[in-house]
Amino acid sequence: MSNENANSEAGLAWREWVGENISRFLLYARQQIHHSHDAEDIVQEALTELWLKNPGCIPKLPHVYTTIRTRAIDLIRSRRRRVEREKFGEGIRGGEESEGLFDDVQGGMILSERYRELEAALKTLSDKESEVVVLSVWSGMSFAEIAEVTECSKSTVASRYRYALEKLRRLIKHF
Amino acid sequence: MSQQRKDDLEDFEQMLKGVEIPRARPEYLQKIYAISFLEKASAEQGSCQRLWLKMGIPLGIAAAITLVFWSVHNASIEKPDVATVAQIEESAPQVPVNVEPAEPERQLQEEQEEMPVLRKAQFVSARSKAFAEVYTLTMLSTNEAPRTLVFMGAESVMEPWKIRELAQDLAQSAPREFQLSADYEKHVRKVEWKCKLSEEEARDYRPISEKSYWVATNDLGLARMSNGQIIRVLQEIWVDKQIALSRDGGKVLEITQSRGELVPAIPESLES
Repeated sequence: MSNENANSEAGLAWREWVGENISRFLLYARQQIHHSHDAEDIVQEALTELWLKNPGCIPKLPHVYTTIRTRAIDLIRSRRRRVEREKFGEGIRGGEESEGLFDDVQGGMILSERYRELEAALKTLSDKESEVVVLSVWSGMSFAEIAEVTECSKSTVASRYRYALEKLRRLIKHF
Repeated sequence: MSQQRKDDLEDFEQMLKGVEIPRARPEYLQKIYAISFLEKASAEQGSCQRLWLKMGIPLGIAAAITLVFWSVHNASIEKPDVATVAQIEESAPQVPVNVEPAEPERQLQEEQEEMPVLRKAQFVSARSKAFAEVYTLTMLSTNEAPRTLVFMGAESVMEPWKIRELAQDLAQSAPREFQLSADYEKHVRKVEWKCKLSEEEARDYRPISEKSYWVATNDLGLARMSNGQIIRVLQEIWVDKQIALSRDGGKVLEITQSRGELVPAIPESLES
């Protein structure tokens, strides 16, 4: 890696954009795949793919999330096929326990009561509801953008979000 | 939804948005940063490869199409294998040595215009055992000395190999000097049979009128018909054959042949 490349205008813009959004991408990927390392792999693959398609161009957020989602679906399917072939364990990762969205929020330290409560409440949501909450609350996307990513209507996204929020509100007491 | 409840949800939403989300590991972040630089070279390389693909695929397709075209073209004009041709030639009956090339079509037309006798006759191949192989020959002319009888096979169904066989039969069976010419062209299908006659014979075979003409009877038999009657038969040609002719108004309807005792080939009814 040369300094010239690293300090190029496109490179700097990319660093800035990645630094701003990478945590959101990882959160969404983890919501999809339920495992932090897989989430990292998926995000990396998605960003690499997008970069190679249009080098030097900052991709649009819905496009990024759609790519992450597609990668996650592909990974889940391949895992399921592998599990079915090997008749091994249950769940996507072949018996490994899925991780929560906020497990790493304190750098591996034990989560506070607040986060544990949030994690438990999120697990009661369906995957579709959880997805909408993650994209809307922590990724800052509009309903229209979420509809583009999740391939459903804007009203469906809005209703899912409202039901999910009400459910979380009922379950979480410490907020 | 009441306003109070809506406000409550909005507050809850704002609180959720205030929740700190997990940060990416620093080493992972560096790796993602590096994508734009590490992949740049590969992207450029990839773009070169894509360029080659963009150029190479159409060129490859064009080359393949050209190859197929030339293959088909060459196959369509490909000459037959020399060995195959030689094999066919060997398997085909040999034409007698005295076979001459066919006369030009124009000359034949002139002869047809000149000759007063131009009739159809049936010719039975010497090799044939059935009437199915009776060919129709057209006697074209009886020329001046040397007297020559010219027949041309004009049967549309006569295949070249049949013409060739016919010519061979004539050459092998003819007791006299014959000149045979066969045209093996696909669409002409003719065989000429020229028979030299003595002056005395030629006098007999000279066409008398339009109703007097030569017919080819069986193998090499010739009969001269005049006013519906066969007046002369070249006996020596079909001495070992017995023929019967049925006539209707001077037209030869049927010629039969059978091998049997050596009987005079000229039926009494044919005596002039």
